Amino acid sequence: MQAHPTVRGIEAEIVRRAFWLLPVTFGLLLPAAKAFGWPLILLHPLPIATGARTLALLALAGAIIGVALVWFWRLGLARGGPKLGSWRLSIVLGMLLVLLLEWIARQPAAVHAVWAALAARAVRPEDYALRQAAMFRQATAPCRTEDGRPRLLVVGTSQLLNNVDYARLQRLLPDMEVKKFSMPGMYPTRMLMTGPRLRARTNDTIAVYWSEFDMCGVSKIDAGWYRPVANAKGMGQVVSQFPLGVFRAQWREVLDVGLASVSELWRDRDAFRLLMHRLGGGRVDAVSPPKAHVEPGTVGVGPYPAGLTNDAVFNRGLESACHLLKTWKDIGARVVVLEGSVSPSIHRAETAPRRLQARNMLEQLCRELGFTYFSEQEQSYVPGPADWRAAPYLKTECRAPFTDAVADAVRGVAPRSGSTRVSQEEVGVGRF
Amino acid sequence: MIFNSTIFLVFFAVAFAVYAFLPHRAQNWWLLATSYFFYSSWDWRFLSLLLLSTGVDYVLAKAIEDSTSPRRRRSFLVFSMCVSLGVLGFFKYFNFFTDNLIALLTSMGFESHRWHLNIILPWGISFYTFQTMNYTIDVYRGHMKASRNFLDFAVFVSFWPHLVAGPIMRASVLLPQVQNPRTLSWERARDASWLILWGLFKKVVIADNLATIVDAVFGGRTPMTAPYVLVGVYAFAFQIYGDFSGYSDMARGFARLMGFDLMINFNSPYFSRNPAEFWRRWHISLSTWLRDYLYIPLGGNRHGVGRTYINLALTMLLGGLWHGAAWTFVAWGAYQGLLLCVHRALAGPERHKPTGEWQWRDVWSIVVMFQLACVGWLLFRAESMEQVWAMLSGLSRTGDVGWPDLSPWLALVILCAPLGFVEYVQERGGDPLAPMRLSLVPRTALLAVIMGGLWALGNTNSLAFIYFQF
Repeated sequence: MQAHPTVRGIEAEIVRRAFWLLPVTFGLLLPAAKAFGWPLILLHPLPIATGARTLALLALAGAIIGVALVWFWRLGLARGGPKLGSWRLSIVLGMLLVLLLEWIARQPAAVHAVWAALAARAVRPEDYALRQAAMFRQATAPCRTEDGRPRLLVVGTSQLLNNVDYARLQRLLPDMEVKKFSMPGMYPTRMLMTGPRLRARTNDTIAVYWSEFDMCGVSKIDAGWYRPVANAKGMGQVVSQFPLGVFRAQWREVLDVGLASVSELWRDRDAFRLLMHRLGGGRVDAVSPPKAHVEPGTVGVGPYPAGLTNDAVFNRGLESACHLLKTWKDIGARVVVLEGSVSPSIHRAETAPRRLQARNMLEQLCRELGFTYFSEQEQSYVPGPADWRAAPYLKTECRAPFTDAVADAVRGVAPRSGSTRVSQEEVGVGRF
Repeated sequence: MIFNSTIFLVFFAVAFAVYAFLPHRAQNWWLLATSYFFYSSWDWRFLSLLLLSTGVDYVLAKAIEDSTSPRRRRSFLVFSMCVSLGVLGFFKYFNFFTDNLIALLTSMGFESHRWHLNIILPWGISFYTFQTMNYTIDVYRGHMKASRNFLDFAVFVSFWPHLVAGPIMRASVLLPQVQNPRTLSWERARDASWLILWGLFKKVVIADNLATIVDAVFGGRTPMTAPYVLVGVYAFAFQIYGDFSGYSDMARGFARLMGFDLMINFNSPYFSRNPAEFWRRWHISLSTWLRDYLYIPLGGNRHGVGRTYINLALTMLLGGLWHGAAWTFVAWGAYQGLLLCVHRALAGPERHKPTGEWQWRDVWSIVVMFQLACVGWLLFRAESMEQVWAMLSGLSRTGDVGWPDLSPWLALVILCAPLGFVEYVQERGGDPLAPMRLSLVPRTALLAVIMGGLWALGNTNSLAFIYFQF
């Protein structure tokens, strides 16, 4: 019977036979990452802009790292057998390595790369929410360059995401840099979490589109929604809005989001998992799982009516909205609140008093804070019953007048009044 | 409450903190209380089944031992087996047998109405039933003394780390550990931590992420072409291994922390070179149970070649049926039986090879055996025999292969790379704890991969272990 080799013997064999493997791997990996990194991340061919000299230096650096690792490995093998203290050292070093990964993941370029890679791969209908989260994380990544113009932050739910033509809005407001910071399901309570990611500042103009339905959209803590956008400051604000009973009932979700608010690796776990399964890209024609299938047109409709009858949920929404407005006031930003509307088909008897309640409260607060509130009647475009294709979404042809209405509202409060209205002919869309 | 859930962490923290400070007898009371709490957290009503199984076998084993009449002893044993198998049969196989019986009668022209009952399968029923059965049989055979302490026996049956998915412990091994004082030490804690951490990694990182690929392929959400069928089946091979061996490792780890030693349930099975070796490495507690309490009593290899083949086939067929009431499991059992028979016919009576005797020239046998195992996994995972045929016929089609089609293969490689490294060290080192003896650099890298993987890729949805349903 042949005896088993010792683990040291197995290791020594690996190091002896494969000592060249690590230097070669790292020597190839580093220049390849530099040359092909972005094309692989974006799944899009790009010209190689790196010079041969840089690539050669990176190859050398990679090889040196590989040699160093092998050398450390040999050094470890030369020492005595593993003792308890040695295990503790491994655990500490292992944790330090994870912390190093965490630090790398927090770097703006890494954040951008992860979410850009995700956006390129989240191509199936069921990926809709994660794709929009990726867009949001990319749009709010700290490494995004800005051109110095005053910013218009369009912040809201999928209503703003789908109903506004952002290219048109940018053309209508050439003196402002339009930022699409909307996400499906970003009701005021959830906006408390995303708020700090907007990095709103003095002279920014923030446009929101809030109806009574936005106030009743959040009845519980949805970890899947909060996780990718969590941050410590926002977590504190969200926590302040929920009663203790919610935390008791949903402590797992709170723990999950709490971890996401302090760790980028935890925050990006949905992205990492999808990326791992779609490294080469995703098949668009793959059949979606029946339950998870989400049509963009139906996103955000589900929770609307349920929360309307719940005072606690509705009041939480209103309080969150007020909290946000006060925060933006403290920052020195300008805010335009447009009263939101939805298809009359989902209006119910309980909608009318809620609508009035939301309108009165927001209007009064805007007046107190010096912000502008546009009730539905005051907006330059009021969608008619035939203009809706789904409960919260307008028909494609109605996006232009809606965008114009947003631009009109923003113009009233924009920091610079020099912007000229772009005619319909200039933007290439007929007048409705 | 399952090992990979947050609530379990709380349970374990409390259960262990109290346990560590109690004297031996009180520890047993505490273990019984926590085990019953653990089981009833799923559905308290089925605690009665556990109590029934415990009570019946406790009383009957004593009666067997106390009785001097062989006939009475045999009657007690038969009664015990009837109760155990009756309960198991009702909960697990009633609908399967009645459905198939009615289908058969209908096909023969008899008119019959459906007898389908809405039966919930109690978690772990197959595991603790087999465990109590081996106790009673061993007492009957005189291999061990009947327990005279109900508390000790009840702890043996319900010991929470292995209650719902094994390992199926022999009473002769576990009962003495319950009866005698146990020692806790830092060395045991270190080994236990490794087993728990690695088991958790295998479950929530490897198995649960591979489930995405497997569910897509077996759920018909990918093209039914060779690249997808193959990746789906390979992914399932590692998913079920990560899932089940992950549970077993965690069970061993938790038990070890509390001073118990549970048997090794998996010994790098995908390094097997033939079907006989595979079954010495895969689900060892079940395969040895089937060998000792089914194959050998049937006659084993003592009654000629033909009878040996029949015994082998019958044992594996029943082993397949043990996994679940479906024709796919029956087919899987039959397939395993066929593999064992063919291997025996080709290689002669199996020479016992120690598992560490691994040579590079064995790679070919290992690769072939893995493919054969994967055919079995196709039968095991498929929803129906129709799906098996559809997937097998899909192997003849390649379809249009593009970069996106490589994605599941890349995910499979990424997820299985750490598993491959650890399994290699375990296999060569001849010890499941061999990775603990790695030197600083690979050990640190491995720990970083495990911790980072759990943190960034671990599934937090607390997916149930596959074997809980058996």
